[in-house]
Amino acid sequence: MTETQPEQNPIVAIVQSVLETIVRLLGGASMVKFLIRRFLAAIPVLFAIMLVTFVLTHLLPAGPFSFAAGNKKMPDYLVKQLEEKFGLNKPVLFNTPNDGYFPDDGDWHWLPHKRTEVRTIGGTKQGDVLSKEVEVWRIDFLDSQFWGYVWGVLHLDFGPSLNKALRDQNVQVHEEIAKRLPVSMQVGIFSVILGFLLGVPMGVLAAVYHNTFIDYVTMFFAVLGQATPAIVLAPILIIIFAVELNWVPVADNQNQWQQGPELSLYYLQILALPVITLGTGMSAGIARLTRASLLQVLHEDYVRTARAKGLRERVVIYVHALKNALIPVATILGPLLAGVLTGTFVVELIFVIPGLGKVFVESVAARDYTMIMGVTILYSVFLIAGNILVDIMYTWLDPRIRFD
Amino acid sequence: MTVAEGAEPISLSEEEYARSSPWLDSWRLFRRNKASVVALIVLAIIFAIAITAKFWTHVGLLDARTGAEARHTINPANLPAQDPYPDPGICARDGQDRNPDWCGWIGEDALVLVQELQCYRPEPDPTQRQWCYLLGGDSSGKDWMTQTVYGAQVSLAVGVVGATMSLIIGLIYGVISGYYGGRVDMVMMRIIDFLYGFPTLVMIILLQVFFTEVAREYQDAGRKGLVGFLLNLNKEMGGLLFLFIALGALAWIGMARQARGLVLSYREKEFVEAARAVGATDRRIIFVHLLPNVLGPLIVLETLAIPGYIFTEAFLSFIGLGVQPGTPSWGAMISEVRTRGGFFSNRHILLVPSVALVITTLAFNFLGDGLRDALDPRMRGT
Repeated sequence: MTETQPEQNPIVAIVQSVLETIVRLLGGASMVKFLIRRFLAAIPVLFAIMLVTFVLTHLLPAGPFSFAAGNKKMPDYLVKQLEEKFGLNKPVLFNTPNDGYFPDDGDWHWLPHKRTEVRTIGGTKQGDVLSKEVEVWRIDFLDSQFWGYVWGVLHLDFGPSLNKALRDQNVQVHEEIAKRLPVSMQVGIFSVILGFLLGVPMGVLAAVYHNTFIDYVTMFFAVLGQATPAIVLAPILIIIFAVELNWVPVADNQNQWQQGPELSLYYLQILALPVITLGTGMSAGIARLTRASLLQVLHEDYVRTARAKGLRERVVIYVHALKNALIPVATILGPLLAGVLTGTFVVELIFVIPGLGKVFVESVAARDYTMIMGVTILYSVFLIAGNILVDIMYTWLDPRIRFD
Repeated sequence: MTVAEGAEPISLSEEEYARSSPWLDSWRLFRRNKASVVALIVLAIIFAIAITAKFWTHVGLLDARTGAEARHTINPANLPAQDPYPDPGICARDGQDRNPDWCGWIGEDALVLVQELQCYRPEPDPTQRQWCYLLGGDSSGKDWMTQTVYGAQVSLAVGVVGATMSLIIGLIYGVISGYYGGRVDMVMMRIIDFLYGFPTLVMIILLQVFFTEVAREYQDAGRKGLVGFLLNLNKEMGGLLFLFIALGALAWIGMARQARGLVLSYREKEFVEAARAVGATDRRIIFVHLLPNVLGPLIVLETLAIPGYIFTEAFLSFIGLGVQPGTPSWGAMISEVRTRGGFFSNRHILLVPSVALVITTLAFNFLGDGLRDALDPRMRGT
């Protein structure tokens, strides 16, 4: 009896081949294992960051409801109501049996247990409001602000913003971040592009004309670029191009940042100064790195071989040497992208760009606990992802590197 | 023997060869880099000026008062109405009392200083000392040169203390981790990997907010004991103490990684093996054989990291989270110009702290390059 193999399901086959391709693209099975390990290692880091940030923000004097409008103090009963509404009346880290927060004493249990609680399901009219008894699972010990937040984050719920202007409109943290992140991204990505477009040619130029006048001039400008922080460069650019020459507006006054990129003169105008401020700083570092790396590669044996073969110098440099020289340069892309999202604070403040950095600084001042947490978690995720990206890029660019 | 004699560098005379040491060699290499020598001189001058600020104050070049009360009242007639900033060279006579009667309803809440200046007696008091602005002043009548010199103290202190602290912590951590290896190394490196995921600037901002707010709260309460002592010390230092802690909390991580890598590479070298073979103790190997080799490259890295610390301080002071309000700082000066609409006004007062900041960081960068040529044999010539 010869039985043919059961026909394989075509969908399974497709999925299998797609998975294989992904594994191959990532750099083989060992690489996938490595990446999984890295992602798993990121979980305790993120948890620690959440814990530290949470404790730090809650230790700050005054809370999100301390002040009404301006400097007026909010009445106590209102503060109490708001704290109850946003769950800030709960204990910060752990709910212990005798801390005055429900449940206490006899009702308090170590083990998870089912309890009937009254939920108010509300409408706008009085008749709509219903009180409904619901059975819920509770772990009393973890019924606190922090663990409640962690539970929310696990469900991708980052809570409502506590900042006055935002909480009145019931804005969720993730909505606000979704609105602000693209703005920061625009500035960040364009300045990384500018940094590479300026930096790599500068570095190559300096390395090719090593120890000549060109080298010295390029490197002087690179060092100058590195030595000029954004808080110096940005005001000077504003004075020259916005105030004196009047080529660009000092700040966006048409809400263009929120609307996103478009090919118009106005967009380029408001984009120009922030991107130049960030991009030149970046290009300086990239130029120095490119130069050092290319100089090192030019001493390698295979470059000597290429020269001995009688290849033209241009071919030697641009075809043989540059590809390898750019490996360390490409790998800073990850930290750069992550860093540019966190490092745009100054630029966003000076150019009044409604991005994440601005939101973060504002929310720290307003004690907007949930927003601080949300932005910090986002930054950390970017940072960790950037670091992992570096490792992936290493294996892509240099097949000799393996993570076994 | 003859081979060894033949290998002696021809350029060195017998006498020079005799007193050659690694440090002398490094100094010789450092001198070759002209830009670094200039940077060293510039830094020495900046340090000297910053340290001797009290002397210049005594001589009368700098204002005796810094901070919020350091304002000189200038006769508004001497100031252009659109431009309420004292030009370089303008002089003012103190003792023009603020008289609320003349302010009217504007005076108490006025943000614009032109209006506020009208609260002062328009006629200067001839019995009072005259104050001259050499680099101009800001809109509240503070002398800009005084602010810049005292700001240099803050920037240099942050740079040097930040670098020293992160070098010491990172060196100890990295050497222990690299030298003892095994499980110790694994645990210590896990901690480093762990801390690497922390967004540095965000953490620094949160720590600074925490410190400044707690300091304010406790100062009102008149706290005693260790906390009170630290708070007082911090107040005396103009908020620098907590700034050091916030900056240093995460700055040593990169340094520890580098130190560990260097120790790992040197630990397996023949000279260490030789030392171990003749019975040298761990302490001797670390302090006599490893440290001198590891220290050079790390000093280079720290010198190149100093501009980063200075930038961070300037940025924090710029957003009002750095030194205490009233303590002069370059970042705070730039911020003050910005918040008072200075971008549209007299430009020189923005230029003064900016130029000071750029020159200092530029000098540290060039110094680092020169030190790399001199101290890091692996990087020579790149």
